[in-house]
Amino acid sequence: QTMCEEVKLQFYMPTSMIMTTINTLEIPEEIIEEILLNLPVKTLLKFKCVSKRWRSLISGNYFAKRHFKKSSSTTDKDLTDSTYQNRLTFFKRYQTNFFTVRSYSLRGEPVIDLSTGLDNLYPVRSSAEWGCVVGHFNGVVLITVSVRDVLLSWNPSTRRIKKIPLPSFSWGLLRDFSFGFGYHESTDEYTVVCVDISAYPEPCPAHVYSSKTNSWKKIRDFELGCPGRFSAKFVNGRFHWLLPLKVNGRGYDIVSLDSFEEKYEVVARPRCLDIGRIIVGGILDRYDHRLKLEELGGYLSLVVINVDSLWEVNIWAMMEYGAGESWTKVWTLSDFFDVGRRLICVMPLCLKNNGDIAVAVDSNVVVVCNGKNELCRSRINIVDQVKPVFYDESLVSPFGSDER
Amino acid sequence: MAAETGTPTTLTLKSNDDELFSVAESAAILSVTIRNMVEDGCAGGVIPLDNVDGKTLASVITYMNGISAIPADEEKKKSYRDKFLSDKDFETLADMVLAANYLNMSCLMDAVSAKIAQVMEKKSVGWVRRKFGIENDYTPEEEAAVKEEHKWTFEGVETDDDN
Repeated sequence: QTMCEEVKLQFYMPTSMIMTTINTLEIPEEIIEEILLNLPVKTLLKFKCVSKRWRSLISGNYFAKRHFKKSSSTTDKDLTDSTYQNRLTFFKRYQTNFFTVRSYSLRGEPVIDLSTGLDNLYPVRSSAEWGCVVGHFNGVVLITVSVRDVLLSWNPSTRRIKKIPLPSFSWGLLRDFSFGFGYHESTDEYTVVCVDISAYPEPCPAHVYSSKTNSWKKIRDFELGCPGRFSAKFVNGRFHWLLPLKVNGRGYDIVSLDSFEEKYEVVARPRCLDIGRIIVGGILDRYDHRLKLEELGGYLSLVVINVDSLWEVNIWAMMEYGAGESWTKVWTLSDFFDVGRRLICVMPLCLKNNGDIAVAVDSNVVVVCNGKNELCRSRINIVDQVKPVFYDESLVSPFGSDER
Repeated sequence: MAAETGTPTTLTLKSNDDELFSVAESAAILSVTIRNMVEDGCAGGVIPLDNVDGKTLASVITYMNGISAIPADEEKKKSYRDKFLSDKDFETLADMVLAANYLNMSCLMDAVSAKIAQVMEKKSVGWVRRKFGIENDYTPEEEAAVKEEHKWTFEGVETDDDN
């Protein structure tokens, strides 16, 4: 009987009274933190307004790291999961304003219009200015900008940007350098490597920037050949380049740099690097294969195109770092497209350890698949835009001169 | 742990409002707090759970029974959790997250935290303050400044309905 009365009473209790009961509910901060870890970046920035305590919690470096680790983890989500906080972002090229940015989910849905963000933060002064994405790590993207000779570290999710100070060594035109963007876990330090390739065939001078010291430092020269203008790919704590064998000029090697140990090494290469004579990028030759080194969701990866039959495109990944036999063919173009098409480009975007892979094909189609099965195909018009950047959203602060 | 016998061992749990619940030991030990008590031999009589009320404990036990009936299949377990939480309101979820924390049930804790986050996502700052019982310690000027800095994040916020 009393139970019935209670239920009735609650049912008719005005909202304001219910509110009073709720206010007595005390959720300890460590539980609040567990809850907030599940929210997307945009919502967390909004909730900085809740209280000073919440702002300081959400702004903290420790929280940002835990949040990124959780949101980018692959354990219970596949790449097509709509709650997955990953973004595919494009820069428009050869327009009056380079920093027009478009952002999509892998399903092809436009996300946020980021252009206002970057426009306000870094207004473009002339049409001659354009930039290249060097790489990204922890949701922070590193961009080089021509004309102004500047490096920008940018978090598109929080719309924060920092300029990296110019190095004191001879800078010159950006096209003479190969850059790489990395991170040193144990010291929590972002690093930028810069190799002066114009010195080739002499040993190429190399410098490393550290976010801890906010300065550049000269390291051992790059002596194993010419790394080319492609940016270095950062995998397993090392920078990687694909370059011709110095000995006979036939075939190619993958060279790694540990910028802390200042050590260059040749990395175990896959069988696909042994197919005949191979050229990197640019020039096409009959019977040859074109190769491109990529960082793919933390794996070192190679796009191999048979120049004789352009539809023969395979993507390989080194599933266990350093183990030559672990190079695996993870994606084949002909499994998803009819042969005989003329191709513009194949751009691997992401590989997850559950086998999910996302690949941009022909400038406007993003195929997401798991192994042999196609999960989704999105149409995104990326013609006339530069290489897409695929990253997981994060709260991580862009590193640079005036923060930290 | 109790020796294997023909009949499954049953534990009696007592909520902080003195309700008694019988639950199979195999289901109850999903809670690390309870498992430790069982392993220490403290589970002979009634296990008092001072931080959980009867309504919440009943719900947690439903979950314990439901999830332990599912064989080792992470996908099925996940869909059970989703279904189990789908009709719970914020207050119930808040009670459950506190109970899951006290009982040290990481899988329930993670699932409820994620569900609360999902409920919060499109809500206003005012809604969050009311539901979490948080006092606004910003001065109006400070709050306006923080809001201005992140103006673009306020797109798509729902109007409060307090549900």
